[in-house]
Amino acid sequence: MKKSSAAPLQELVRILSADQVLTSPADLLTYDADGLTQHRAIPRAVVLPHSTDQVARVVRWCHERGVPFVPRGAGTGLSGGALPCESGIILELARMNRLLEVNVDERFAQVQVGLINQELSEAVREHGLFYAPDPSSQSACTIGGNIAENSGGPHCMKYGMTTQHILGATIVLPEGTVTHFGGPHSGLPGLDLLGLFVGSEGTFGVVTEALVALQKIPACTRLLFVAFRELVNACRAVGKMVARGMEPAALEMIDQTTIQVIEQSVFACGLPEDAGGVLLVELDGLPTQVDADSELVREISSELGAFEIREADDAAQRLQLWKGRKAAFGALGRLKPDLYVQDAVVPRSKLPEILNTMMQIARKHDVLLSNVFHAGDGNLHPNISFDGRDAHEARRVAEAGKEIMQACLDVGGALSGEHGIGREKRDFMPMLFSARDLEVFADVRRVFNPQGLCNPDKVLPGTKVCQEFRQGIEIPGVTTP
Amino acid sequence: MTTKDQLLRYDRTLDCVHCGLCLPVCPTYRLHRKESASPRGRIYLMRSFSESRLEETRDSIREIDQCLVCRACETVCPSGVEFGEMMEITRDLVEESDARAPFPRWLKRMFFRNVLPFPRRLKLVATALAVYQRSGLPTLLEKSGILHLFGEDTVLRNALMPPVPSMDRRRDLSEVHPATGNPRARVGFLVGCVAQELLPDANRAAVTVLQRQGCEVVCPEQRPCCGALPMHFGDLDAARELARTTIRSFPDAMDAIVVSAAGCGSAMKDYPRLFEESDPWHLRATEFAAKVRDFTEFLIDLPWHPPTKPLPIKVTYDAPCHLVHAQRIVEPPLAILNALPGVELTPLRGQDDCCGAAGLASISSPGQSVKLLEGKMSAVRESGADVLVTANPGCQLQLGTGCREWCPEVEVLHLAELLERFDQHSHRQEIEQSS
Ligand SMILES: Cc1cc2nc3c(=O)[nH]c(=O)nc-3n(C[C@H](O)[C@H](O)[C@H](O)COP(=O)(O)OP(=O)(O)OC[C@H]3O[C@@H](n4cnc5c(N)ncnc54)[C@H](O)[C@@H]3O)c2cc1C
Ligand code: SF4
Ligand code: SF4
Repeated sequence: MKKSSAAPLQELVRILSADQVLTSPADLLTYDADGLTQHRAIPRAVVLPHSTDQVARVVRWCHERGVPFVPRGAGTGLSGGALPCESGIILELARMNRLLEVNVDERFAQVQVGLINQELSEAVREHGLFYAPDPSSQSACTIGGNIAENSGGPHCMKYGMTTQHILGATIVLPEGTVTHFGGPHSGLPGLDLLGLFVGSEGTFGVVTEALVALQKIPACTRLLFVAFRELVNACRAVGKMVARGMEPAALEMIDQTTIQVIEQSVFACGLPEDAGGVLLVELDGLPTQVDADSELVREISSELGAFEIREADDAAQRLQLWKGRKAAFGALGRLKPDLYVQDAVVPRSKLPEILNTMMQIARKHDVLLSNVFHAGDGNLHPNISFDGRDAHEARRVAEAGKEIMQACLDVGGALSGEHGIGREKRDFMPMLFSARDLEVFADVRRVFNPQGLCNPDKVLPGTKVCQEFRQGIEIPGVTTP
Repeated sequence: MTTKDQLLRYDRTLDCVHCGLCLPVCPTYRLHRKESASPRGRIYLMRSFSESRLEETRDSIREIDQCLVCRACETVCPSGVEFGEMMEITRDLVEESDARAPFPRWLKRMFFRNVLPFPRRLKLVATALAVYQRSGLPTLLEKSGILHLFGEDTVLRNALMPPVPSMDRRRDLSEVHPATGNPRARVGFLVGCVAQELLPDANRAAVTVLQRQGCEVVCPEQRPCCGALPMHFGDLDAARELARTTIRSFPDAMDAIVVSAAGCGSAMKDYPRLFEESDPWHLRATEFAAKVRDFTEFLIDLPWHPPTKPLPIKVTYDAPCHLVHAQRIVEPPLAILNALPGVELTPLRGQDDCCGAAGLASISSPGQSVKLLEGKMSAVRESGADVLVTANPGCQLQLGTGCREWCPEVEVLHLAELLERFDQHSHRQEIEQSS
């Protein structure tokens, strides 16, 4: 394989156009991290293709020249999945953001993957439809990033994660060939390669177009918020609701610290700041079912000592509460300069126990911990606020983070609920998987990505593609930290 | 002048947690779809300058210049990033760097320091512009191709220049305007600098409306410029000087200082940040800023008496960035429009999006400005309105240019002008009835 640092970037300009290839220090610097800023690296170039054909040509060039490449959507990822490779390029899909077709009868849409999640739902609302997976970042993140991460969101409790909503995809394989997986009709014969691709975190190829399923907007939607003095009781309520056979559309938990920062922000939505924890319970379906379910929510919550149970008055207030919930991570930025957003899943029944353990770990390492999470799925987001300029504090955060992770695994949980492994948790993988498991993963990846140029050094431990090429690359005007 | 040290101490750039939620609302990001043209990217650049991670070069400061400072990013930022303030400080800092071409820097500084503070000189510049416009030279220069020698941007600037009104319309406003009937309040009114030369009718209308609502209106004779332009475009020293003059020129005993220019009002509310807390001017600026009211919010709080005689017109409203994002004034203009009898208010798609005026940004990046304006105009056409209402002179000029070019059937008015039209209409009807 040729050394990538020698590959002339000028050739990329010939493949695309000057305005689609960024190489200035300022441009490159702004791509050095995604939503997780603990890891940073400056790419050699950023390319902004408009079409599948352009993506294919760029990928082919990378393949021939041995240049690593990292696909990127909006860079809201929280596991460093879109972290550049110093010797490689960023393949930014944000300009491929067209909604190509909406089929109202068959309830699907064909999109270019740079389309922003929320813009898809807004565009199909006039047909009484919506796109169900709604990550809290939905106002910014792309369908492509969602596919790569198999993203979830509050409403995935009832509607399922991204993978349940992707019917088909156009994919540029790491050698530069274009292929199509899936199609509008479910149950196609053959292996479910689409299922394998969704959630591969950009390491199996670049998805450029997707066929996504749309849902009908339910007849009736109601949002209740329930305030508890003790966070643990809120957790118990979650367990009971699910045990009593309820199927809420969303079941979200917000702790006191988070409530307070949301209420200070532009997204203040009237949550009680003296609550230890608030549950947001959204119910949807036929009006009679929703009525019955709200009764049940009230009953269970009162039994567990909730001190306030309220319903959103109308669609506007519902939207406001959701905006508040979805602003949680950003709002936590008010506490300290940096935020470490964690992501783990535990069995729902273990929620009260794991919360206690996490508090102890936070106290032991003297770090500022807050919690906001998809309680219904047992998908935790313990967040640690810190100041990265303080090396001691940063170290304590890393240690606490690792212990929290271990504690989740100990109660039968997993490493990631929805944010992916990326670069961040790559080295934690052996905590959950045996060497043999990891080998199998690597074998599967090799089928798609034999040279390992597509999003290298992510997800699976052990590879060091980026470092191998690293020597001898300097970008004038930029100092690497 | 800001130093790197000051910027570094000013660790506001750290408030940004890099979540990216601001990207889709940023007009320049939507246009270019690249990180450095986004709020998150720009904050990253500002931080990199202060940490000396990135050199100030033409390339790297271009992204700082292209920002519209529309502050739409602040409205959606959950982390409470104060983008506007950060940008003001950064621009002041990079102004000094070698990456700035000396001639434009000199010209800008000269305008901020030697023209803006002096209404007479400003009037002279406006008159010279009027002579140029009426001489037929603009078309001649363009047709002959001479302008093209200076690049596409110059051609655009020439074509987009707003027409200067006649000398008579630009005449100065007198100092004290008595209230009609029993006085309910005594207010100061900022006449402003460029606004008075290019859109004098809007100023006059605002004063008349305030009088009719029972306010005695004082327009300081010095006619101070509030300093918004130097504040937003890299000359904080000049801005401080203008802020001091403005504060001094208004008598103390005012119930409020009313401003009908959203950009100026936002700058005046931000005066305290121009002065260090140890500076005695900080306190004065704070007290002054507390009295500053946008024309629309002032009317609602007064409370105003809406006209009673209906005037059937189809109106749409475009929210000035410095009203909706910088001052967070959302409801008052809409409440006023909704209270006008006969007015059919139709929604404007992208009402809160920047029209591309953005102070000097429309002069420094005319291409980008025109693209934003085109988008705005297609929304205006969709709305089917006859009158497009705004509440800021900068926007009014830009939208006026847009309508002349793309929607000649649509009239652009400042909200105050629309209100005055209602007043005149009632007045006429009363005369007719009594005769
Ligand atoms: C405030 C906030 C809230 C969040 N809430 C949630 C949440 O509720 N649920 C959730 O699941 N996540 C959440 N996230 C994480 C993140 O938004 C999601 O992972 C999202 O799907 C990333 O999309 P993106 O377009 O930003 O992708 P990026 O961050 O740009 O990329 C993410 C990964 O996808 C790969 N990728 C991107 N585009 C493609 C493509 N076209 N082809 C192949 N690979 C590609 C990249 O290489 C990278 O590995 C949140 C993030 C933030 C900042
Ligand atoms: S929304 Fe705020 S915190 Fe998030 S990236 Fe933008 S400026 Fe930073
Ligand atoms: S002020 Fe406006 S143009 Fe500048 S970064 Fe913010 S949203 Fe974008």
